[in-house]
Amino acid sequence: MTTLDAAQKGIETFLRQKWRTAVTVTALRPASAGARRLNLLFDAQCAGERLELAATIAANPALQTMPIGVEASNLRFAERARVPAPKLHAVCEDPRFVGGPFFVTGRVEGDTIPRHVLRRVAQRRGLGERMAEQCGAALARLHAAETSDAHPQLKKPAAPIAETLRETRAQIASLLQPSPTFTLAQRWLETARPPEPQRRVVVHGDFRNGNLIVGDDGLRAILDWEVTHLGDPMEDCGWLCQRIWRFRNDALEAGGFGTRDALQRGYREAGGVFDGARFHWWKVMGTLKWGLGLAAQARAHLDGSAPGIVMAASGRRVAEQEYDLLMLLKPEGC
Amino acid sequence: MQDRPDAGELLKAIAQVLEEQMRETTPAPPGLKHSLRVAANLAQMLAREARLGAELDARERQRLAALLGVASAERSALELSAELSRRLDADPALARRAWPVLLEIVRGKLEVAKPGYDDFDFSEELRR
Repeated sequence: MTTLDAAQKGIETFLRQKWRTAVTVTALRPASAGARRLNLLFDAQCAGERLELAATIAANPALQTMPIGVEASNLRFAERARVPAPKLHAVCEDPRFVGGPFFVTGRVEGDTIPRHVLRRVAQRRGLGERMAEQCGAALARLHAAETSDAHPQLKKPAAPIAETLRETRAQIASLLQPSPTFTLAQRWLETARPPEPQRRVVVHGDFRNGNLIVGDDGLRAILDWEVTHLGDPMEDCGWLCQRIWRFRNDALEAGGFGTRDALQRGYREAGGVFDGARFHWWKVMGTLKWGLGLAAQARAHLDGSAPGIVMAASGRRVAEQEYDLLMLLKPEGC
Repeated sequence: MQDRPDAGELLKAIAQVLEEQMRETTPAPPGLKHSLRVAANLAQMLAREARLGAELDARERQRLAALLGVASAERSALELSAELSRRLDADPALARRAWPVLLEIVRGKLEVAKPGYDDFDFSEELRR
């Protein structure tokens, strides 16, 4: 991992070259958000001005799902679509400055850690519902944006529903241990599959509590645009409403902070079409995908490709997703 | 028979050491506190497994064998759940009969892995 001193020098050198002026980087510190990338916060003194900035560094390219330049272009896309996201200042594809490619954005103040977000919501009456509406509105604007403006390298499956079902089926077949519950869910998803979406839209792909910057005025920015792709708009809504992102505040479907009604209201008022059946399908699909992801983490620990106690522990969290799936698919009369 | 403390009691003692370390190691390097917390949770989980595991496994085999109409003595839980997965894939109509059995098995796993997780049942959001 890059040391902070080295990162400070690297960012400073890069910004000087990029902006062709003297830049001093101060107050550099790691941010808590982001599990796989390094997020640093800093100030840049430049031409008598102090800029409050953040750097997102792909320190381990093996874990990066898309080139950093593509992710950075998603931030610009969001800005054009009037979706709150950090403002992009610079992209550096050269890994030599800080040990990996990175981009620099404006810093947005607020909470990102889910339990801090939920604490803030608990302290301020009405904030959670407002946030759910803001999330709905942000997603509706993202989904309405013209896809021809999106980066050409974004994944764009011709049939997102069929493709997702193929992926989960293959993952179920390669589990270390069979999960009859996952098979049951897969068969339900295949049987209950909605028609392919009429229009493929830009989907954030990981829209959830934990990737949102939240202040007293609610949603300030959406982070982590590295799995953004073209697909079904209800995928984002279903993903946000999985139980895993409620962080024990289970009764509030939207990220543990708001109701589905508020999310739906925000989505519709911003011009989106909220399809309840499709939403439910994607919520079930998201729950299955997360369960398969946990099983894959346990396998990565066991086969030595990514060993570690957190990865190992994931194996014993599979049952949580199985339980959620069974409850979501409870047969009439059971 | 091993002398006391038994496996569960020892795992609890290990969990206590890890929890103390977690509290006392401040400031901790990034990630260390989280790893210690996970390790402590796993030790607590294994203590529950030492107490409940054998009975839960036996019950799982019985329930699966009864559902599949085979003798439970002949096959492991792994083989039985592979068989159930195959049958569910071939015949989704089996889901209705399998559902209560799977729920009981999953609840058993949660009793070890995350007690209380099954208190929430989604009934509110499914009603709408």
